[in-house]
This record gives sequence, structure tokens and C-alpha cells, in this order.
Amino acid sequence: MAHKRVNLNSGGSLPQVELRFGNALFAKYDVFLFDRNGSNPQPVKTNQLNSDDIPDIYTVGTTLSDLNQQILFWQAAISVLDNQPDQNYLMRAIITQDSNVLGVFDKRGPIVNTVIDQDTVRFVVG
Amino acid sequence: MLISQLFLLPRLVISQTVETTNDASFVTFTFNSACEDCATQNSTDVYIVDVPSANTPALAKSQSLKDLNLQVTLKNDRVVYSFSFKPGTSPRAVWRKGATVLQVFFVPGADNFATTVSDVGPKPVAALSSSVAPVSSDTSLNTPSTANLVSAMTTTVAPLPSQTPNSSFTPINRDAPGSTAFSAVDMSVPESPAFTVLGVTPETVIRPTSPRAFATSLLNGVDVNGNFQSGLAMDFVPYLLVAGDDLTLRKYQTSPVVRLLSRSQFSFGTTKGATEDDKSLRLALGLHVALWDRGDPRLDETLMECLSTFRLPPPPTQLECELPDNPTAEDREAFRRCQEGMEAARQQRATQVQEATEFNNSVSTRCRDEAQKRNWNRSSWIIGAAPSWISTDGQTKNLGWNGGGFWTSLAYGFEGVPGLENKSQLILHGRYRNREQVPDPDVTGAFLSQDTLFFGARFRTGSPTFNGSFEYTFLRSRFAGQRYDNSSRLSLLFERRIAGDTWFNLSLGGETGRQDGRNNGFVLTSFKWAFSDRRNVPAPQ
Repeated sequence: MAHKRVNLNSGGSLPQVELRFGNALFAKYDVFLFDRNGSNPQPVKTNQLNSDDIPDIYTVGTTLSDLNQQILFWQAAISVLDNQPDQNYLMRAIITQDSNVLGVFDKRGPIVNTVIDQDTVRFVVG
Repeated sequence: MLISQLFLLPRLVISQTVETTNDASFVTFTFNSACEDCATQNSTDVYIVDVPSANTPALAKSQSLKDLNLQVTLKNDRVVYSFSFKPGTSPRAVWRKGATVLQVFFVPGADNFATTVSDVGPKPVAALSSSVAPVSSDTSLNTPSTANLVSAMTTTVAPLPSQTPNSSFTPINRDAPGSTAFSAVDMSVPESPAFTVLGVTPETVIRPTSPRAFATSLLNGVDVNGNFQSGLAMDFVPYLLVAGDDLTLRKYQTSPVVRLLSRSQFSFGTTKGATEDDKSLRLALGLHVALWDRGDPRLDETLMECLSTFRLPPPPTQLECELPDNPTAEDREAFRRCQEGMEAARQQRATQVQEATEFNNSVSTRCRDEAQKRNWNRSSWIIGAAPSWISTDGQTKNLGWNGGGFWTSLAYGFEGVPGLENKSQLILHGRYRNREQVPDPDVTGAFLSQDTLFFGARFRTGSPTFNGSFEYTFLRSRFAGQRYDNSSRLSLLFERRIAGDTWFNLSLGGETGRQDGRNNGFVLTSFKWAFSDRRNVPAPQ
């Protein structure tokens, strides 16, 4: 499946990605940046928790020009916290640039115990 | 299938209790293996033993037991033994030899108040059998429509929330003849009060997770004429329906209002009339709110720390193959190589994700189990309410008030109190039921409208070698047009491990009240002690 795309303003700052996990579920997650061909992953942030006081928002890349066509990848291990039936998870990534929301990317599904899910987006600087 | 005869052997096994059994009348059930899934129940002049068909016992009776009228009924995968006994005689079940031997004694008399004092393990029939009305969290609760609902909705036990006060006890009917209710009154607030008021435990409960799913469920529950269909059962948290996607764990942890809204659950149910000719529709709306909960797993930092050991797989060596915009020759070559190695990369990734998921599942289950044990007695305050309506002709527009229920449970876990923290729990519980339909004890098949006010208090404490329980219950009830009948009951249970699996059980109890004009007030007390090879008082976890 083709990677989703997000258009960055070439005159703006570096983009930021924020990860949110809905329904008050626990999550541990990684964010990586891949090259334009989907190889050579470089960590943006790894082994982060959504249960701590650290905001789950990170600046991506070093220069905007280098980001063009690169692919952002994130993955999370999500867990339920109780035994309630019929629970669902939502993994949401919000890409912003200079406080402007450029894209919101959701992955969701049922969860009984734990789930590992991932998603990607390709940056296009224009 | 009804079988009215069994092979009865004349002699008996060795008694382990201190009671004199030489002159006692009793029946012995000997199982091939420990019967953890067995159940006993004392009904009106009939004693019932419910066992899985895979573990049918050999039966024997004492010589002094004459004219045993035993019936055996096969119900699905269960075999139910029932035998009548003389009025004034109270059967008393005793499990021995690691639950491989069950002896049912027929002891005459008023001093046999607690017929299951030395019973251990196996549960009351109602808690196990799928062929009887479901166990509700109310004490006196099965309504006339329960039976017909059961036919429409197979009975299963709904999962209990980890946050409610410990509800491992099954409810009792203290008014039932031969009631052995020393303790074991359910003091939890029902998770779905609407179903409790209707007297049902539906097998399929719709739990919509989005406003659209909620609307669809409601529409599906209404017929073309706009009348609710029977058998509808729904549980939902309005806040999560609307704002669940934006509810992060930190938001939940830091906002009391959000917590309250997230823990406010509505239930909704409908049932049809008791008979085929009965067109009536009963409808109930329930609310369950956790006002305060120090055992909330989402606030448990130790649980979060435990879960932080989750594993994430390494990032893929190669993402899905795709040419970038304006590809160069280099990009095309990379794309070709990507396609060649994609299948292997996918397989490698799938294996890594699978391994990490299995590890995380194990960690999550362990962490949550530990949290549940750690928080079993934490302080909390939970309330529930459920109004209900009835339409005798099944038309929604003709719905009229049909009573309701209110529950509240306040638990105190002695947090910060040395010696009691982690070992003890005090629960105060109250509930009120209005216009509850209960079977008429004098007329078979008839029902009476009853109002009931119940208050209970329980203190439990325990250790691996000692368990103790104190319980007080007060019941105020009246049938329509009659005076209130008040009664209260006090019980104390202690048990101490003597050696190995041998426990010394001691129980004391008393009952007062029941001034309903038909009988005088009375005080009933008893003192029982016995040795048992299984634990009697449920230990704090």
C-alpha cells in the first residue's frame, strides 16, 4: 500500500509529530525516519511511554530539504488496563508545522490484551 | 431426562469432623477427582447437588437413612441430584478429602442454622447452572420475567469490573426455607443495573463504541411501528462514545471530571412478557457510576511501571516498496532491490511482531493480575440506579412506571493503616428496590409486588493462615398493601490453618426481627465448628 503523504511548507520550520492513544489505553512507542526509498531507519525517539509526564510530541529531521520524500514510521505496543469487554484502540499521529495541523493519521481496531500497530507517512516539501 | 433410582451402597466412609456421626443420616457422594465445579443448594424441603456429568459420583447412604427419595436429572452437561427431606430437618454438606467426597447430613433441628458452615469450595447451584435463573447482584431479585427472558437470552455471567468492591460472593435468599446465609451477601453494585432490575443476564450485550454504532443499535432495536423490541441489551459510556478518541491516558489521570464521566456507564434493556399470551414489554435504564476509586488501574503507577517493560520489534529493514516522486536511476534500482527482498522482509517483520506481541501479552496479563491483587481492597464509592417501565400491550407509547432500584457501595481499604492495609476491607452497602415482582410463597405461579430496603456491612481480614469475616445485614421489606417486615442478621466467621490443608472453621451467627404480624420476633443463634480440608472464608487476594 502506498505511503500516505503530508505536504510541508518549504518556508516553514521543521515538522512535529504527536502521538495520541485514545480510550485511555497504555502505549509504548517508537518513531523512526526512513530514507526516500524506505530503508535505513534512523530513530527519532524510541521506547517512549504515554503514561509519563513527558509530552508525546517530537520534532522530526534536521533540515527541511533533507526531509523531502523521507518517510516517517511509528509503531506502538498498546495494552488494555482492565478486563472490560469490547475495547478498541486508537493510535493517532498528528503532523504539525508551525502549529498548523498538516495531517491526522489514525489506526484503530479491537483490542483484548495487547496490540502492536504501525503507520507511515511520506513528507513532501513543496 | 429423569431417573428416579441410583445405586446406593450401605456403608460409609470415615468422618473427619468432630461431630458424632454414628446416628446421623447422610448421603455420601464419592468423586473420581476433586469436584471443583460442583454445587449444592438447599431449597424448599429439597436438597440439590449439581455436578458435571464428566465427574459423576458413586453414591452411598447411611443405614439410619430411610426412604431416600432421590431424583437425578440430566441438564446439558450437568447431573442434578435432588432429594427431599423432612420439615424441620436441615441438610448439611461437608466436603472431605480434597473435594473428592461430599457428605450431606440430615440433622434435625433449629440449631442447624448454618448448614454449610463446614462446606467448603463448591458453590451454590444458582451460581453455576446455566439452566436456572441467572444470579443477580441483588438479594431478592428474580422477577417473573426472568424465566422467559432466559429463554430469549441464554444466561451467562457478565464480566465484573475490577474497580468495584470485591464481589466474589454469590447472593443469597435469606428468606428461603433452610437458608444458610451466614454470610456471602453480594455487596457490589451491579455493573449493568438495567439488566439486574429486569432480572436478566443477557448473553449478547451491544456495546457501541461510536455515536453511529449507538444510533444503529437503537434503530435496530425498534420495529417498524416505533416500538422497542424485546431482548434488547445495551451497555455504553456516553463520554467514551463522544470523546473516547481524544481520551489519552494522561488526560484521564489528571482530570477528575474526565474520570467521572469515563466511569459513568449506562445500560438499557427490554424484556417480553412472562408467557406467550403476555404481550407486555418491560424496559429499564441503568446507570453505574464510580464516584471515587483508589483501585483504578489507570491510576496505578506500579502497573504503568510494570507495563513499561513491553517490547517493541526492531524497525523494519525495508518499508513497503514505493518509488519517490521524481525518481532517479538510483531510486529505480533501490525499488527493484526492494521488490526482490520484500517477501523476506515482510516475513521477518511478521515474526518479530508476533514474538513481541506474545511477550507483551504475557507481561500485560501478569501486570494486570498483580494490580488486581494489589488493589483488591482499595477504597471506592460506587452507585447505581435503574428505573423501569412496563407496557402491558407491548406498545412503547403506553409505557408506565414499574419501579426501580438504587444501589450504593462504599469500600474502605485501610490505606496507610499498619497491619490492615492490603489485608482488610470494610464495605458498607445499601440498596432499595421498588415494585419488584417476586414469587408468591403461598400461590404457585403467582407474583407479588415487593419493596425492599437492604443495608449490609462487611469487614474481612485475612492472611495465608487465618481468615476472618464479620457481616451485618438489615432487610426491610413489604409486599404491596402490607406492613413492613424488618429483620437483621449478624455473623462472624473465622478459620485458621491447622496443618497442611486442614483448617479449623468457627462460625457464630444470630438473627432478629421479622415482625410481619404473622410471626413473632425471634433470635436465632448457632455455634458451629469443624475441621475441613478446604478453605471456607474466601481469602483476601
